[in-house]
Amino acid sequence: MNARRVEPERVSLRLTPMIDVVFLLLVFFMFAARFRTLEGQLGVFLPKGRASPEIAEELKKEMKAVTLSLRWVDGRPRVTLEGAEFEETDPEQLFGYLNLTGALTAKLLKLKELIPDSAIVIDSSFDLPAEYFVGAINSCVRAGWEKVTFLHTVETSSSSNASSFPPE
Amino acid sequence: MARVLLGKREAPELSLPAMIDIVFLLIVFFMTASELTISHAEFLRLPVADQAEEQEQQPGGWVVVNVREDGALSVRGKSVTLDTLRAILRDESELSRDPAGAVDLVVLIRADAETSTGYVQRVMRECTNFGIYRVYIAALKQRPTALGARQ
Repeated sequence: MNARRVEPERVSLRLTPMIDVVFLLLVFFMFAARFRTLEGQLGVFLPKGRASPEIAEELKKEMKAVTLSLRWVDGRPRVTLEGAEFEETDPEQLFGYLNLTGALTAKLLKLKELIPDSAIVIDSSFDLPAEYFVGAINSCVRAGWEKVTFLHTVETSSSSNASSFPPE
Repeated sequence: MARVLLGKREAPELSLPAMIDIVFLLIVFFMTASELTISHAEFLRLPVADQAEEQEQQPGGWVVVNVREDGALSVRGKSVTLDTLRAILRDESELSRDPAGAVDLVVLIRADAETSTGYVQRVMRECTNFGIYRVYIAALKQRPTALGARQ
């Protein structure tokens, strides 16, 4: 009997379904992607134990604290540091995110040189946009202020309640 | 007279290996350059602070509180009231309390740049009430580009 030799079939990669799957993956990642932004954190040190107005006043005296006042008046920020009021309303001009030319940062740097051991108290009104609050903390950190304290604000008043968040 | 030999025209071919290479590179790019899900993070316009430090994995407990523009709060993807936030902070602080009584819990406040400072400070106050003293405020290290305008 004459046996016929069967040629083995060549193994081939089927490209078409693979390309389909790859394209599907590509489309999925393109639509599901949200590009990474450089999100960071600013550390806030809160007091151990509940603060009271009396404690806040004592701390201000003990630490020779400088007060940074942030108010929101007629849709504009009113920033005052040791009696000096800042005209700038644009956060970039005020805080100078990319350099040290921000008016507030420059003033904070000067004060830090004059009174290196003192603390700073940020006294902000309730309705001040958080952008300015965070910008002020950022300016303090950048200018080398290590002791940053906050005064609590209350919702119904533009002035602050005097409980404090001193650093540890 | 010379005969002009007309050669057979080659049929245009799609170079599949090259295309697959490019498509794979695109997939790798999108996989590495993007975050698919961050369950705790909401789409908020965060304030900018170039002194903000990179996020680090904290050894203890970790609670992320999102404060929306209107002051509404959300934790772990769910809207919460101030009372609910208090309950969460109370439970988490009890779980993270060490034998000495100290709370090893970190709270990250992600506040919209337009929200009122008072809402942020309210969360900070609740943290101190439950003995949580390690609080961070989220901020973008640089101004967002058009692609990532809202984080």
